[in-house]
Amino acid sequence: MPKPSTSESLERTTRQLLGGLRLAVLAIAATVLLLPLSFIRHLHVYQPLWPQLLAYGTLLAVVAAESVLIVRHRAWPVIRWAALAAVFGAALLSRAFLPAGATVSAADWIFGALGWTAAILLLGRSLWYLVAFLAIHETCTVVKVLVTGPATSDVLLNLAAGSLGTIGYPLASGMAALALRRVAVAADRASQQAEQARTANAIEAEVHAHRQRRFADLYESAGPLLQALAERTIDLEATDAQHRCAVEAARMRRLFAETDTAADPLVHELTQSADVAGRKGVVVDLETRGIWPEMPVPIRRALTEPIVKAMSTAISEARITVVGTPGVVSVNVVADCAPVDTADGGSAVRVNSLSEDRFTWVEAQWTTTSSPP
Amino acid sequence: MDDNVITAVVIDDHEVIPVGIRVWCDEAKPPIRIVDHATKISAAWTGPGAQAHVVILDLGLQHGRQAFNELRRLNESRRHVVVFTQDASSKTAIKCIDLGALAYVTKNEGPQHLVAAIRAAAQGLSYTPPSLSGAIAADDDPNRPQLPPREIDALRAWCGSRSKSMAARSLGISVSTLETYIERARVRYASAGRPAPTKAALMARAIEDGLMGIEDLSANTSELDTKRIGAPDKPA
Repeated sequence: MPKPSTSESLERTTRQLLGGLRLAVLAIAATVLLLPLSFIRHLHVYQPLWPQLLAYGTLLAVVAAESVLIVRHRAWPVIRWAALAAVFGAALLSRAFLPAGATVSAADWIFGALGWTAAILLLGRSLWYLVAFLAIHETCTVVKVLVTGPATSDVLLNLAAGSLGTIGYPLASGMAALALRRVAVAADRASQQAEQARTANAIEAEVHAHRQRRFADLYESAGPLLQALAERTIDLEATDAQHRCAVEAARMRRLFAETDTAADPLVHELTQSADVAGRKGVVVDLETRGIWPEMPVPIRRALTEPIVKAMSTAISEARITVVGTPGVVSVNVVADCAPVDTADGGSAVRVNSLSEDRFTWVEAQWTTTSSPP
Repeated sequence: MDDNVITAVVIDDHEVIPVGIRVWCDEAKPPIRIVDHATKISAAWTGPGAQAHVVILDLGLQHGRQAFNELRRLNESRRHVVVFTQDASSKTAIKCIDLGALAYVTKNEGPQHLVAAIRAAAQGLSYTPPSLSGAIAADDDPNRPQLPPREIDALRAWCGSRSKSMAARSLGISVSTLETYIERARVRYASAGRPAPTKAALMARAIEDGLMGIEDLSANTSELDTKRIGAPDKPA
């Protein structure tokens, strides 16, 4: 079964596939009704004439309506059921006023036409509606022949041969419609899967490109350091070298943190750099107050960068505080660390660094573009 | 016994916390005397605790239930309460000062802020440690008192730097001005929300000290009263 969310696209696919069959059924119904002219040839037989004209007009109206609907690419509205009742009524009327013994004869024009008219009305619905309608039609015909008609072997043969065309062929068209509807369901599902696959591919490509860009940034800073480590041209005993390693380690952690979908990327990145400092034996406390909007990655990086730098030189303790107030996001660290270059933040992020006794306070502040409420 | 010594009672369901607080208070200069400690609130109402200047109350008192009712009753009896808690959420902090707590100190803020809070509370004064300062600055409750930008800046700088002198330097103001801004913000909160004796005393003191004019507060409260019409679920 198709899911409700896909019903619209399924309907479209079904309409496309059933279009040809619908046209064929209309053509057959119109031909059956108009071309053999059995109705016109027997006008003198019908006494009175008006029930036959009324019935004929009803069926013709359905054929005409279907032509208009096909041209307009529309399905039958709810009026379908009223039309079905009308054509069945037309059949009862026509049959009631046929001369005795004329049932299933050449004069019984509606015997052949009714099935196709019903097929027009029921093609878009479950096959069982058409089956039921044709069964009722056939039952009525048989009953009429047995009750009123002379049930001679000729008449019974006529009935059997006629039924093949009047019941069998419309039924076959209904079964074709059923098969096409099943194909439509499968086609629709396949097209949706293809669509999903295309979307997933596009997302994956974008994520990959994004990751490449970020790793490119990392290669610029970590690359030379890793190379120096490999070539043993760096003195690992030197404090400066150790700090460079600590900073790059924190950067890498931050980069890896960017790839996962944490609830708050800013806090998550700070947690990662806090972990790095924690491994060096620095006691890190992280506190957040308030809320802040989602921010572009460059802003987030500008906010965390000074904090990461300060943390990398912290000796024993660091307190990170993030405060979000209307219009301002402030990221702070107080640590026994070296002062940080305040020109780091770029235009959007203001960095402030103050020292007192052995502690340094570094604040990176971003004034969000949205005005405070 | 010296009558000037500040006395306090500790209500905390962790046995080790009162021991730590007692050490901090003994080391404080001048020392603060812990007259009793217990896991049940009754120690603040009976025995030596009933006369203590300050009640140090752990919020997570009864198996996860927060002791808001206990805090409210203490305030109704004009007791000076310092909330000392593990719970660092801003909502809880704001609720405690709304119920009349003179200070809200989180357990990782250490002795420096707890001792300062106890000293202020003994005189019926508020103390705003960095965490509470951040909670007030970042409060986004639609019914919050309106704070001028300079007061929010002061609260944020104090919260981020944990040093009043550095915070004042970064804002280009003196430490006493910074303290005034923080205190004014705090008094605006005292004039908002539920009436509580300690809050009324804070407001009266602020006006006496010339910290705020009566018009500052009345403008603030009338604005709040208007707003509260739309928020009937917040008890007056």
